[in-house]
Parts: sequence; structure tokens; C-alpha cells
Amino acid sequence: GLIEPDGGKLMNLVVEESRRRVMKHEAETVPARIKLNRVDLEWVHVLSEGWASPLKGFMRQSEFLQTLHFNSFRLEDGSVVNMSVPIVLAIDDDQKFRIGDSNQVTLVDSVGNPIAILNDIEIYKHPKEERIARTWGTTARGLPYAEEAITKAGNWLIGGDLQVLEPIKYNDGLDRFRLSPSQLREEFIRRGADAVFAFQLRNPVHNGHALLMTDTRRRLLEMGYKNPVLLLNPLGGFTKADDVPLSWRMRQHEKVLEDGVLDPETTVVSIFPSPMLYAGPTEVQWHAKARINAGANFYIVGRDPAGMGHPTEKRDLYDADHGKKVLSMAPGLERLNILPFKVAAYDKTQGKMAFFDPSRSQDFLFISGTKMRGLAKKKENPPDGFMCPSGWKVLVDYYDSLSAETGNGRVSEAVASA
Amino acid sequence: KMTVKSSLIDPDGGELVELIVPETEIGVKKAESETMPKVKLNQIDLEWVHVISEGWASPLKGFMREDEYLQSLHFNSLRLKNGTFVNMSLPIVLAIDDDTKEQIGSSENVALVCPQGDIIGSLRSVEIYKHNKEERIARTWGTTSPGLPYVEEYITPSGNWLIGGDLEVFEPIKYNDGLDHYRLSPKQLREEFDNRQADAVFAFQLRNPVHNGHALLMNDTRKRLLEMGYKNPVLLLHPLGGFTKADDVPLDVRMEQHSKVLEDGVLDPKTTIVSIFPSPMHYAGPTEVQWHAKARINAGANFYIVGRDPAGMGHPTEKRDLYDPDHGKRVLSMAPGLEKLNILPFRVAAYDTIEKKMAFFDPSRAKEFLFISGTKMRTYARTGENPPDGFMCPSGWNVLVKYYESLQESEAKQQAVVSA
Repeated sequence: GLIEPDGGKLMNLVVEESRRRVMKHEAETVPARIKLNRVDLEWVHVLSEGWASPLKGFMRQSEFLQTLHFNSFRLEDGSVVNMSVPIVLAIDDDQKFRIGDSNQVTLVDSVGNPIAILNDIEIYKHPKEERIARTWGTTARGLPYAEEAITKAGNWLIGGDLQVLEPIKYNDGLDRFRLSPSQLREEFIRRGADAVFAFQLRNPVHNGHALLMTDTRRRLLEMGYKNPVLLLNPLGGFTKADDVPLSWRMRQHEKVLEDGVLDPETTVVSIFPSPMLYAGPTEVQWHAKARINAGANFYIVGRDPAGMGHPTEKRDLYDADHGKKVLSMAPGLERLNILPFKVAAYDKTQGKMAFFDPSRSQDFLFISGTKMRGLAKKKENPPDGFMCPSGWKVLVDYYDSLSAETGNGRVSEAVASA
Repeated sequence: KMTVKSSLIDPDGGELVELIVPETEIGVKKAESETMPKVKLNQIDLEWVHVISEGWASPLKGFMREDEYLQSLHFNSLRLKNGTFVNMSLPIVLAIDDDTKEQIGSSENVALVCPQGDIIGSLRSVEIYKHNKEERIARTWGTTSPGLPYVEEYITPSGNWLIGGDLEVFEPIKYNDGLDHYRLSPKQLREEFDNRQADAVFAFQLRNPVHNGHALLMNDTRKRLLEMGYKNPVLLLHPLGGFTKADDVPLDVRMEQHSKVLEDGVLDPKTTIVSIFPSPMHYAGPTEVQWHAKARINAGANFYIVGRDPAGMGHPTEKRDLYDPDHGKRVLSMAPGLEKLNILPFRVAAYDTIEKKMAFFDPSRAKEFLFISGTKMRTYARTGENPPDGFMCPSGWNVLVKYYESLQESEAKQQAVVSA
């Protein structure tokens, strides 16, 4: 059987279909409402499907404090589950005043449609500086998620138990890829998986990634598993402006499967709806924990997972090894097998991506994500065998579309000057 | 002699880690240390050597290696080999600079040199790793604001590398400041609690003189423990003895004031042990108070009294407290590894203007109470004004007045020198 979810069962917070009309009516009658922004809605989605089980809603203060200080929660039975990233909802002074003594609030989308009810609420102060410092290990300006979702947010946090009125849909043509943890578990069972290994990325899949994933499957077979299945689980929520957008990444991933670079029979591609914090060792724990809830018992972790360059200093924000080390020691993640990412690079003598061999380092060419994007932007071809051609074309088309938009900008300038 | 098992709480990890080299081995160890690369300690490093060597941080056996450091920063706890957790919320680390790192090279052991120039011990099986100061500060304090006393005194000027390893100390650390007799180690404290046949030990930490509100709280706590069925609860009055910020009252003055409080019988000397806790002070709020509580477990205390904004301070650059005053208590009550410690909330005392004494605050007659903060107390003492009668025992108050008088005299002398 698959690995058990944290806390023993998945928290499905979407109201049963038979009760939706009643609950929608209740939501309409709750006087206090909170408008969700895009990132808030992503967290509602994450919570509603049980990625953060056993969390039942936005964090109350005791959950928030445990997350900040211990990266974990203690459950009533004394056991510990991991929870390293605050999943909190911020409100401003006006909203707090309007909520007053209410015990529940309705959460609405940007055009006022009720999305969910938050029950048995608790409102407490939002210590933004402390939250940022403890989550990122810095308070430097320029942290994408902090600037998008924290700095401008209200001075209060509201926690409570969440009841979501309908499954969250984005209607962006990609909803068919957004499998919930329970749907993923059903799919793994249907395919007869006896091991599930999860790989997360924010970038297109190159042949080095593919080699790593294929090799991991081989190693699991050697360990005695009969049918290991890969969960290729790209992150679907907020990402920083210079990351390749989700729709283009998904298109590229489809090509990789169509071309047989990864075996579609033993690979499930699904979107992980979480926003990205770029919080390194703190965040990678969240990424791993969520995959336990999705049914994965192996997690592949690379160099500087969930990291980024320091926003104001010429260095990486985190030590490249800390993510792996912290993950291997994290409270609540003991039952997850952490598989280290073997480094792949372009082998010039073989004309393909291969595992790096230090004894002949001069034969290898490292092509970073930055270099890859540079090549695609300039329509230069990468070395043969770096990425499947149809996948590469998606990337080139993406950067083409960016320069076309720039062209439109120039047209606008012409109009303005005319 | 029949050995009776102590009823005191077990130390973290099951046994106190004492790291003083046995006398029979000192000669050999000292000779060996002469051949090792040397690491120079500053005053705060030495305070940490003292803390570690006596087992306050048990089961930590030395300065943290990277695995311990990362667990401390991210989880405020360490996982032991048997899978259990002990609390360890503050990094206890030793920083070295580039030159020292180069001198150490691939050596496995280093000698530790105290500020006076003597080799006082060694660190074995060392591991050197990067010192990311910004991250350490942010995760420990929840801010990177300039003006954090411990950061400015100790972290910012320190080296870019950390060195961890197993500690060996050649002799107990002494300060020769006339206060060493108050510096009881966890082992000595446990012996003293057993001598007094304590069946409960409640710890109270402070950085300020003891006023009658503190005394009321401590006496009331003892009464409550007796009501709970304990026969002989003993108070560990445990001021912090390491680095403190410049405007805190110095240790020697505080200790003199504490001794007056006992002499005057405000606290019962038979059921009170006054000892110095050698740790430096970080003012890191909810992160630090866990360390304060954990260290008292190791000293044998099973009850810890926690107040408002423990280990906190004002925000260095904003007009607010750095931490929410309730967070320390909340975090302490949820902290991994501190489950066996009973956290007793601090009942608030204030000056009752009707009864003319410190009493527990009664909200139903709030206007009859006067709150005298530490700041206000120091202002009274500095200006030579008497606080309300019954706020503090007179002989204790007098110690404070003399301290501020001597401070003003030395300030006046400095001004005279400057102007001359």
C-alpha cells in the first residue's frame, strides 16, 4: 500500500456535493467576508485538497508559532508532523474591525463569489518582519514571495477551519493536470505502484533530469520494487517573474513524454498547486511533506532545492547542501526516503547528458538553467542530446512570444509618439 | 554508604555531560594540546566553554557541528540516536577567521586558548563549515535589524567559519571575581537539591534586582506546589551571569542585592538556592527562553516560571517590543523536548496603593494598582528617589542606589578627564 498521509488521513475540505447548496446559502448569509488575492486562493486550493494534512485550514496562532520555530506540529497523540512553511491568511485593520466578534467569515474571490467559509476563527497579530526572517533566514529586500504576498499584506492574520464550497478550478486549460492527493493516490493504485518517487521542478525537463529519473527507477527496481511510478510534479502556484510560466512548462513536459524520453506508462505528470517561496531548506521540507500526502514515499532532492540567488548580495541565498541535510533531519519526515540527486552534465565525448564523472571532468559541459534560457532566447541550439528537440522548440517558442510582446510594446510607443 | 536514587528530573539525553578531563589524564592531555593548532577564545567564547563543560547543554558534547547547528536553527531541537528529541534552540557555536582556518588545515584536533593566553582545553574531531551570519541572526532573533546587543558584541565581528567538535576542558572555569562560590554547576546543584531533600525544584531566572513582586510570585509558587502535594519544594533563584547589554545592572550588584533579599528573609534561605547561570544573554525572546528552560532541566529543576516577554527587549530601531509578550510562554509550552518540564505562568504583581505593598494585580480594582517597570525602578534608583514603601526590601534597594551613585561618579570623572 501507499505511504499514509500525515496525521493518518487526507483532509478533504471541499464540501460534499449533497451539501453544497446549503453551504453556499450559509456563505451568502455570513456578513463578514474576506476577498482572496491570487496567492490566497492558491493556498485555499492547497488546503482544500489535503496537501497540508492534517492542517484543516489557515493556521491559528499556535500552529503559526510551531511552524516558525520548529518547522513541525505536535498532534494530540504526541506525534509530530512536518510543517515548515506558514500557511496563513492576512487581513487589514478595516477587515478586522468589520469581522468584530463574528465566529466565521466567508472567503470570496476577486469578483465577490463565495469560495469558502472559515469557521471558529482566531485573529492575531501578523509579525511580518519576524515571519520573513524565520522563513527565509534573511530580511533582504527583493524576496519574490515576500514582496508579492507579505510586505503589502494586512497587519493581522486570521486562522480557522476551512470549508470550501467547490473544487478550485483555474479554467486555464490545465485543470486536467491538477490531480489532488486523493486522485493521485487513486491513479497510483490503478497503475499498481508499489513505490512512488516524486520529482519537483520549476524548469523545463532536460535530458539530465530525465536520466536521473530513469536511473532512480532502475535503482528502485534493483531494491526489489516491482513497479515504481514517477510523480513528475511541477509547481503551479506563484513563481517569480523570470521563471518559465506554467503553461509553457507543461507543454514542454508533454513533449518529453510524447517523445518517450520518460515512459508515459510509469510516469504521472500533475501540477502541485502551491506557490513558490524560494525559501531553500525551510521550503523543501514543505515540498517533501506535501508529496507524502500525495502518496509518494521517495523524494529526489537536488542541489540548493527551492533556493535562489541572494537578492542583494552576489551569492546564493542558501548553502547548496543545506536543503538536503535539513531534509534528512526534519521532524515528521522520517518515513520519507530522501534520494540524493546525482549530478548530470553534458558529456561532449558521447554527445549526450550523462552522470558527471570527476575523473574526466574536462569531457563535461555544465549547462545551467540560466544558460539554457539564454540559448533559447537567442534561438541558439544547445548541444545535441541536451533536450529532446520538440521540447526545446516549446522553449524557443516561449521566448519568441516574449519578444513579440516587446514588439507590441514598441508599437504602443509608436502610437503614443504619433 | 547506601545510594538513594534522586527524585530529580532526568537530564536531557539521560545523563549530564561533564567535560572536565579527569585529574589522572590532565598531564597527558595538556602535553598533547601543546602540539595542536590554537584557537583563541574571547570572553563570550569562554562563557560558552563553561556552559558546555558543566553540562548545561547536555547532551551536547562540544561546540556544534553543522548537523547540530542546522537542527538548532530550523527545529530548535536535536534528534538523538534513539529517535527522541531534546530541545536546543540556540546555536552554541565557535567562530574562527580565515587565518585560523588555514592554520588548522586538516588537523583533527585544536587547542583552545583563553583570553589570558593559557590553553584551557581542546576540541576534538573538528568539523569546519561556513558561518552564514545573516541567516543565523535572522533565524535566531526573527530580525536582522542593527542594534541587537549579542549580535553586535559577538556575531558581527566574528569569523566567517564555524568550528565544531568534542570539547575537553582541563580545569573547571573560574572567573576570580569574588562570585565563583555562587557558580554551582548542574551536578553541584543537583547534589544541593538532594541534600535539602527537595522533591520539586522550581526555577526562576532574572536579569534584574528582586523586588517584592518577584518575591511574592516565588513564595506563592511554593505554596501552590505544597498544595499540589509536594513536601519540600526548593526555589532555584538563578540570575544570568554571562554577557548582558550595557544598560543592565551588572552581575556583582545584582548578586549583592539578591543576598540582601535572603538576609532580610523576603525569601526563605532554607528553601532557596541562589546560583549563577553562566550563559550569555541574547535577548532573543521565544527562541532563547527555550534554552533557559532546557538548561534548568539539566540543573534538576522540574518547574520553570515564565513571565511576560521572557528574554525579550525593545525593537532596536522601531518603537515596539521585538516580540509579542505572550509568544515566549506559548512557544515554551509547545517546544519539542520540553514536555517533561512544567511551565508555570507568571502571575502579574503590581504595587497595591491601598495595602502599600506588592500584590497580585486585581483587574476589578485596577486603579488602585501602580505598575513599576524595570525602567521606572532604575530611574528611581538613579535619581535617588525612594520607591513606594514595600516595593523592595530597604537593604536591597540601597545596593541599587549605591550602584547608580558609583556610576554617576565614574561618569563625572570621565567628563572631567575629557574636558581637562
